[in-house]
Amino acid sequence: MVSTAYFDIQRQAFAEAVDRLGECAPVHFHLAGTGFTIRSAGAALTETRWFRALEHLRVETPDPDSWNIFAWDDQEADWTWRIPESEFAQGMQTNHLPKLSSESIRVFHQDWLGVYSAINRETREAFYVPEEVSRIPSCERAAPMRTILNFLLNEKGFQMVHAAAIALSNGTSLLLPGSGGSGKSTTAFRWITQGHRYQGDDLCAIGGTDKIETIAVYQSAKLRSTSESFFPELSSPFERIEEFGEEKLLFHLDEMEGDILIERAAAVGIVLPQIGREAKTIWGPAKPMEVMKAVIPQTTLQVPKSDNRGGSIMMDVIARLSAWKVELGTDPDDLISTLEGFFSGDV
Amino acid sequence: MVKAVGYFRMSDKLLDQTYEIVSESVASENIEGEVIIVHFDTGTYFSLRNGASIAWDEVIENSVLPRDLIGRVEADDVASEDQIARFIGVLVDESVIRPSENAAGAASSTDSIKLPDLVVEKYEDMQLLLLGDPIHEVESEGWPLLRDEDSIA
Repeated sequence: MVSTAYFDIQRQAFAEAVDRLGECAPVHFHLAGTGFTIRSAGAALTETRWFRALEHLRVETPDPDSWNIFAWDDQEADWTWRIPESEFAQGMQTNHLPKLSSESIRVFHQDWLGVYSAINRETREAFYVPEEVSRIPSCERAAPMRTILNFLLNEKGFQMVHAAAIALSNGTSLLLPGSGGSGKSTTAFRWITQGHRYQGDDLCAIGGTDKIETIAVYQSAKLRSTSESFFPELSSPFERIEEFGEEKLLFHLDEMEGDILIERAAAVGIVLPQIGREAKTIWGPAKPMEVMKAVIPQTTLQVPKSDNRGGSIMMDVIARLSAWKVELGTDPDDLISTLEGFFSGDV
Repeated sequence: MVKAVGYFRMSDKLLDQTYEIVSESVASENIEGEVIIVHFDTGTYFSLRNGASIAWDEVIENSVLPRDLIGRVEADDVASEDQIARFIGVLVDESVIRPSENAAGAASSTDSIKLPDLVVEKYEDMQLLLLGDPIHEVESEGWPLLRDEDSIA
């Protein structure tokens, strides 16, 4: 079978990279009940701390059935990753390389990121191979390996969604889906500065069977530099990055004061944010179709599709959670008290 | 843009087989009486309301033969054999459902049923986002800025 043979080739490519560059100590993680271990060759990836946004998921001991994610910088390894010309040409038409994929295998070439990804459900292996790690865009460094991690999440009934998630220390959360500029990040930062908890400002996971839960997949947070003046109290270190022609501030929550991040929380509802002009925050119930339009299209654009599990997970979440449309007011106190009301059921 | 879907596809065969969702491409839920269907391969989505949402639950979720459903519709109700056939035909043509191998169908209740106004609406306004290839259909700045005037960042 072509796809299985292709994995054999890439396994050999990793072995060649290790021969040439040496292997780093494996690093173990745990996400949504699934373990994964990153095994990297060479120093380039490690030096850039490319998986720093996943630090909160790190564990000392690997799960017995952990996935293995093999990673290396392809330039440093002298271009060991291989895609047959014909399959590559076909893959340029789509998100992934279908001739190299099967029901249990997905192979992606994310051209603009300069990253190859491959996932094999049967052998619980994945490959993450940047062509040149120093050229990985900042959005990928803030949320690395989304294609692979979403595949792992789907297996556990979760889907990565383009949304912020804010939480309380009692372990409950609200999901805030929306396109860029809808106020997700600013709301998340306002929430943090009030002493509340955080799970993501751009990408997080949601799903579950008995109860709907949100998961903090990344411990990074981005804020437009134009919003910096709104938060004079923010003294945490940050990195200035450029994302799609816009300057942003990239924070890592392990460098921020206090216990901000909460890895898993029970979702109590969905808030569709929209920047308002009034001081007061205005809200009303959201129709299921409005919620679907806020959640699904933005997510399919941000997280390359693996199969259709994600679509079903998102529809299930929309069906089971209450939802509100919120025009975000300029008065921070009113905004926060409105959001707190959604948690307590007092709105 | 909203397009009301409606055309005839009269066929007895449509009514005498059971159906299943094209699950590798479609996600659906009945939420508060409205069935929302998203087709990830065509980028279209649908709203099924009133009698259409009831017919969906019976024919698709409960695997009832459409012919058996018709037999239960109250005499003064608006739904007719013709409308049920159109309803099935539209969803088959849109690749939302397909005939299933279970031709016999589930045992249908004998209770009479009302199917008022089978409303099926098809939407294409999210097609660009649902089908947008985040790898190649991008501005030079990169994804997720789609090309031309349809940029959505």
